[in-house]
Amino acid sequence: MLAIPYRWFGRPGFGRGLIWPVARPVGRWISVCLRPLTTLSLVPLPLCLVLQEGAHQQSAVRAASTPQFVDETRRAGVTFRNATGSPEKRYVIETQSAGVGLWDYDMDGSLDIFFTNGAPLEDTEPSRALEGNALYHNDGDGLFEDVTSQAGVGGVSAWSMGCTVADYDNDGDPDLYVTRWGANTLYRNEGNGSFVDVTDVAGVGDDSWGVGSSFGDYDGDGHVDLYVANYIDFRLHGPPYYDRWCVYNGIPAACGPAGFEATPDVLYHNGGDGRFTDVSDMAGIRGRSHYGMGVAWGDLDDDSDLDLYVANDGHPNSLFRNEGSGRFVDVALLSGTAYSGTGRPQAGMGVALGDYDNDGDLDIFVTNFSQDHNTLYRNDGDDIFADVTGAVGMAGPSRPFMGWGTFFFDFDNDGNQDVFVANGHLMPAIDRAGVDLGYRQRNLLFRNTGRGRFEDVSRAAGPGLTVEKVSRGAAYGDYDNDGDLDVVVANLDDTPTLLRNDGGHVGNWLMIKLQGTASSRDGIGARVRVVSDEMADQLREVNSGSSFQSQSDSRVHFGLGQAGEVQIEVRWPNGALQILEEVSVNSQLTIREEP
Amino acid sequence: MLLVFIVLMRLYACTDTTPRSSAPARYTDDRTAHEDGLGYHRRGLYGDAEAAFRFALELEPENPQYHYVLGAALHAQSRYGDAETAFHRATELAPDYAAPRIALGKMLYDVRGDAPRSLALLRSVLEVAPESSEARFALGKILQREGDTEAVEMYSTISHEAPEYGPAQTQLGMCYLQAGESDSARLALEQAARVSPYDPKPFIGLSQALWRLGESAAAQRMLEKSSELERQAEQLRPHLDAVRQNPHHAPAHYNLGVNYARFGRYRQARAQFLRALELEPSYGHAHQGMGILYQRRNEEQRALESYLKAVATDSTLAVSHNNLGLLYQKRGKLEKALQSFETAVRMEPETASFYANLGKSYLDLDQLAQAEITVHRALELDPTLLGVRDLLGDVRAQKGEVRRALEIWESIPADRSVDGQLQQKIRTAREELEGEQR
Repeated sequence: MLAIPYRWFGRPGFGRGLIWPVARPVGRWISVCLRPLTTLSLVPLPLCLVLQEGAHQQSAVRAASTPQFVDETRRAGVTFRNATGSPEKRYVIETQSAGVGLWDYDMDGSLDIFFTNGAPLEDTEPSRALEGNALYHNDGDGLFEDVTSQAGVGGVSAWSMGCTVADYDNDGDPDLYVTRWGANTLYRNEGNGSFVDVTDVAGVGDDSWGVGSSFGDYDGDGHVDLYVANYIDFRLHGPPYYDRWCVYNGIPAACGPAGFEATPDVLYHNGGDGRFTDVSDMAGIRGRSHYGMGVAWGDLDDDSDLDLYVANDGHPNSLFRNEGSGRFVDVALLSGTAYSGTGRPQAGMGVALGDYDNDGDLDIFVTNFSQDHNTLYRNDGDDIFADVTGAVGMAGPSRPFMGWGTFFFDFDNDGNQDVFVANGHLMPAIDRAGVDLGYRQRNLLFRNTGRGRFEDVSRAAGPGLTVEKVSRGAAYGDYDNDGDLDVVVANLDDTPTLLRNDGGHVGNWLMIKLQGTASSRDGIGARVRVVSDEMADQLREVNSGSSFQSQSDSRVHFGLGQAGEVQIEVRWPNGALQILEEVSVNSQLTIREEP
Repeated sequence: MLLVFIVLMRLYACTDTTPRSSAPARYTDDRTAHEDGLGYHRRGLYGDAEAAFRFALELEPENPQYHYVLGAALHAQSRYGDAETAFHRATELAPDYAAPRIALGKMLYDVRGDAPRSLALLRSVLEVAPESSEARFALGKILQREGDTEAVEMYSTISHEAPEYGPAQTQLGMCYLQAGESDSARLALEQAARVSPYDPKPFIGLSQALWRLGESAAAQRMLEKSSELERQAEQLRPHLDAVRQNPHHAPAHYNLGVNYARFGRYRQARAQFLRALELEPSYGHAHQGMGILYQRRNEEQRALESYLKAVATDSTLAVSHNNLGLLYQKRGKLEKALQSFETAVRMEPETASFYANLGKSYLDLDQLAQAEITVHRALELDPTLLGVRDLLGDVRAQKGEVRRALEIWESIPADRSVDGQLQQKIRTAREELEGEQR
């Protein structure tokens, strides 16, 4: 264990770090773990240093070429196939499901995968028999095994949409929340590979059409709360469009969401006793209802509490600023994050938060419809954002694609957060209409140059990115624990795509898992900053949910390029600070909150 | 007391706005095919439009305009490749023809995100048609979306040369906003709001500019204004669609006009009523609508003429009869007013305000028993009509029942008693009663 001398948190001019309250003058090591990851075991520091040398050798041979993503789905033994209604997609419900979670449910150090599934509709020809959701266990050697039935998370009779993960009961293992067309489900992790449906006891079984969901401790009481974005009031045999096709730009399409009633989103407060309370009205999040989709918690105004961003389909997006008193105010319109920079509402689908420009605050990325651009909102501070999509080079390349799952991640470990977008159209008939757009679409990878621009490197980033499917959910994480970030994409009526990152770890890296004590157990909402003399400081927040209906690796990953030792600064959700100095790179470590 | 129950407009009941496809005829004349095609296109019947334009092209294959409109119809059906071919053919046939180049430039960007080709095409339009605000605006939009500051130059040029081009003013403001130039954004967006007072966009932008300038209360007001305009737009949408689908249907224009009037957008309402009358000169509802607009502006003679035309073409228009009665009443033609109100009540015996006006008319003519019965009937139909209670008090006072009249007037809630005339009547009645007691 290494005691670290006190140093003022942050640097002059670095974001607005100096306003953070300092609770404790020192941080301390909890664990420094090497491959294979043993999260809580203490590893002597000298061993780290030896490996650090190795890492430097690795960096020296860094190639200028783009890391390659390889489709490992079949080889990894992932045979799950999504089935969402009929192939022709007659109803709007049939165009959605396919969420994905990349998480370590059994705490063995390797990321496992959870897929959500749709279901057949009673009056349509199903694309596939009913199979339900699927959980795949990662054996640590690149192979996955279907453990759905042992885990008890199949939910066969339900139409599932998305998933989010958090240790809601602070018992040390991650639990799972699944949104549905119908009542959502909370699965409590029993810690022995199985889960128990505790929805009724917890009181989180909202029965609207839930899409995005995310856990976040908005009131800093150490228990993660839950936000669920709801879409529309859709009933198979009900008005307004039963048994009717609509036409979109000359192409037959399932009707909706326009014409349907929006269903209100829900905010649940976690009482800490296994029960949640619907506080939507009290919190002020239930104003005018929108067609809610992607959700992400993040401290967007850097005032030490979690704000909330919701991407709404065809409606203005919402940015709920946390007023700190259990109430939220939607400042999306005033802040410039409700619409595109030209003042138009867009079809918000997925959402990602991340500090793409390494200036110390969280920026927002939202995926949208085709023939429109996905939107990057740069955080300029003081609740002011600018649509910089075009300025960073991401507008034109995204227009032919319909974007869904998305996230910021540093796939090439160069210290700049890149962007991944999962794509796929809504209307199968588009393939028969003789138009340019395809129902199946390839996904997009934008590399952050670090100079305020993104480059579309999709075609140079390996065969895995040439795959064309109808993608929806997407998540990232280091499933092979090799120091670079891999990707898993959930596809509608199809097998998923597990993309192994080959070559991303030529740059140095750090993977950090937080363990809260006063804060929630998995440290959701904590901010981690890595400071290095050799590159710009980097910021990450531990989050749950986000993207589109998906859950990414809750460990925070930093690409560090050529950087050697770094300093790690953790701001826990209650404002307490923990600082670790002279941390070796190319390692995985767990930081436990000082009691 | 002047009791005026002007009845505003009601929607015409039957407007079927469903677009229907009708198989285009076999044309012998390319112009007719072209005209029909444009009509189909406006109504959203793009397949029919395509067929009509193809007929036109069979008869006149070298006509660049026909190729252009065919391209537009194909674009609307998402057949981008075919549309591109049609636009190209139009530009081959007429190299100086701006419209297909603009359409192609926009499409290449919107659909394929091909900014370089799109920008090159639009710049080429400006070379041959430097005055084309449409081309400059399209160019500005793409530059803006691509984050190119040249967009500011494009919009500035438009706002200089065509200051009434609202969208350019708005986007100029939005460009400044994204660039962090809040003062410039505010100026541009204020101008945009003046030019396009019913477009929510400039108000949203303005709210953001004010927010950035620290004027949060003003920002909030702009936000509320934009929300109100969005609400109006939502309610107007089906009526605008109806007009688009049925551009030659007078009731569709009338209904749109009524909705504009409901939101106080009288200039737009007037345009729709006039369009309805242009399409159908004997359309009574539209005359009635015009009458109401004139009456609001105190142009009473023109209002009278419009109502007379309205009832001449449709004697069942109770609103016109009622409002005619009010105009006659004001001119002291009490008998004619009475007749008009009686007709209104006969046409619509369930409308409380018609009875109230009729009651007032009886009162003016000192027919107090009739007045009382009529006013009571108005209150039966709508007890919330507080002005009618005031009128009932007048009737009682006229009958010499001052105490009863005072009771009625005093029972009118205080927020309605701010009416100076009512307060004066109450004071006078009290004095009179006190005088009696003395």
